[in-house]
Amino acid sequence: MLRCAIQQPVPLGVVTERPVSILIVDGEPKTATVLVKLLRVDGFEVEVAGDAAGAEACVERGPRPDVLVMDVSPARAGEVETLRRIHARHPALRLVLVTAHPQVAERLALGAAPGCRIVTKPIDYPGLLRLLEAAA
Amino acid sequence: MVIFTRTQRERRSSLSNHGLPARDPPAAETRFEELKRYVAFAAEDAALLRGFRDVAAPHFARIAQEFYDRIRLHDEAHAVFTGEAQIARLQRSLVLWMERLFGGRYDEAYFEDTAKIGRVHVKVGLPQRYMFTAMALIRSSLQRIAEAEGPAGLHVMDAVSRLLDLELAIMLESYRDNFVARIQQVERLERKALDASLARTEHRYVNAVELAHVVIVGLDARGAILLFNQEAERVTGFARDEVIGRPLLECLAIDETGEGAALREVLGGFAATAGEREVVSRAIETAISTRSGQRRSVLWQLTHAPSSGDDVCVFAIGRDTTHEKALLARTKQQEKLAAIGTLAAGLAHEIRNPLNGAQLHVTYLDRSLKRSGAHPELIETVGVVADEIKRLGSLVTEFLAFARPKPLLVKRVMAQTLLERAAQMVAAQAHQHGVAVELDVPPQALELEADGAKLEQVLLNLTQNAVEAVSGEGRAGRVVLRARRQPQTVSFEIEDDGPGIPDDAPIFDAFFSTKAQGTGLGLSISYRIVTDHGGTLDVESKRGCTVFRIVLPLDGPPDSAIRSRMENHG
Repeated sequence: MLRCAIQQPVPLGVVTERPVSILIVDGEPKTATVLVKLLRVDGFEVEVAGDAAGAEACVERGPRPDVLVMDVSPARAGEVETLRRIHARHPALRLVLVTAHPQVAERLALGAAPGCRIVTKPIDYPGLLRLLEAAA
Repeated sequence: MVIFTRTQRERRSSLSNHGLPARDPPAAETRFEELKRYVAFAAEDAALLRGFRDVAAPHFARIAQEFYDRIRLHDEAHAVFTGEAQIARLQRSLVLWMERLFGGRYDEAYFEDTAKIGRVHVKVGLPQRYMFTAMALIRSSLQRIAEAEGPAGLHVMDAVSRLLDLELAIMLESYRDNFVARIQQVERLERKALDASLARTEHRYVNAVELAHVVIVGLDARGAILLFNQEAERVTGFARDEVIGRPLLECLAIDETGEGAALREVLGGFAATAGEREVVSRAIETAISTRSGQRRSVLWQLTHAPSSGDDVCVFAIGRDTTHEKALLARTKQQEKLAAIGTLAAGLAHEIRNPLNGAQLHVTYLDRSLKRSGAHPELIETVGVVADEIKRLGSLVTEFLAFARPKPLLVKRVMAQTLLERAAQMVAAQAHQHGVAVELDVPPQALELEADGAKLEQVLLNLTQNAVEAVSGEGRAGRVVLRARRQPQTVSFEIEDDGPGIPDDAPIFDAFFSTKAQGTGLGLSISYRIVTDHGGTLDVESKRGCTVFRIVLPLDGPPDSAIRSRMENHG
């Protein structure tokens, strides 16, 4: 049990009994899978959705996650609108947007969901961890 | 026109009397004497007329009456008179005139009286044709009286005819005098108009030349300056009196090579052709030196227009293209960068997505290896891959920052604060290598309009470079961060006592780097940020002293000046 606790360390700042729940939204299954593995090892409760619509359905169905980590691209239409709806209905849900176009994403997403955080690809995993800990 | 003065006339009258010999005119005779000589009016004629006076006199009133009756029948002649009152007056004058004809004294006073009558005719506007026909009427009336006297009357008829010819001739002179006077008046008016026209032309051309925003220089055949307009003074900084008479090429230190040589060639060609035709050169852009030694660019067009009345035979018309050229270069550079930016943005997506997958997988691999207690060599190998992926990621980010930077966020910033932050951020690194970082800034606040974050990035980049350069020396080095105020600008200097930069190192070129982990974009980005601010970034370097100097306009980037002013006041 002790060994297990070391393998799955509880992130700093998260000292509640309930682990932080994260919904990953990524259209690239391999990338999503490895990110899920890493985050689970680090003590998060992780679900995955393939796209924005799936994520919205997931959030609506519940239980609502604490953080939404979503891959966004200006090339995918409707994504920003979905984000706006999710944020409007669940203002307490923390948003972390992962993108290859941080400037464009910043411009679009900050209007749709003020307060969301932007992470530029390639994801610096330790950096993402710090962000999630702060978000929780 | 009265040709003689009174004294001349009196003197001549005393010398000559009527009845001058018909031949051998005296050295100086009066106009009247000359006329009398021509019509052969002699003393006998005078005596005959005087003798006939009593016979003719009773007819004068009747002749005058008939004369004016005739006029009353003729519309055009009648139109000359103002009315019956005038006609009655003139009718009396006509009687007096006829009495005068038979007075027997035909001297200069007589001449003057006749001339006066002629002038009156001119004054009232009596056409010459009526004077001729009127004289013919009177002549025939008087001749009929003489005829009635029988054979003796024939001589009287001759005398009357000669005298009336004289009368007519003298009166005609008045018309001529009037004509001359009128021509002179017309000439006077024309001259006045011409003078006014010249003054007007001069006013227009002088103002056109002086007020034009083009350089206008007039040269003589040897290329010396004779005309130098206000714009020429403004662009070159030379006052007119400093350059007049000096050769243009020497004054403005125009190059002897390139386009300067082309300009010399054109001037030489003009000098060789003495022809009077107008020749216009092609446009030639040369550098010139101003009075203060600055180099400016002027686009010239030379015209060879020699004129016999003017020493200026070449007009050099020029336009100051210094700013235009700089602007064009900047625009070209910006267009190039914008194209690269578009490409880079597209490429960034294509690179970052696979990098993301790779990085996350490598992270997972690294963690798993560490957990399973794998061989350190394996862990290190994975670490190298992770570092390379990271480096690629930051290369994309930096390249985008260079090629497609975020718009400047111009605000009022303090130079001292920016340099202090840069110093703080390198403090640890400097301390580690024994490098002293010193601030050399004025005590009073030095503020400027700029994008503080970007400027800080530039200063940090340069300071880091300086610290790294000095660190490599293996001795205690020194880096000085300096700020100074100029009238319109603020300058920042980052000075180090490191090894210096080789002359041929293209340090501002993208992807040039001397550092193992460098992307070669740091200085390119700094350069871009500074030029986006409308500033300059240059470097002076020798062994033991390298200075990077940034000069920025106090009021911010030129195109943001209006905007930021509006924001401040709005």
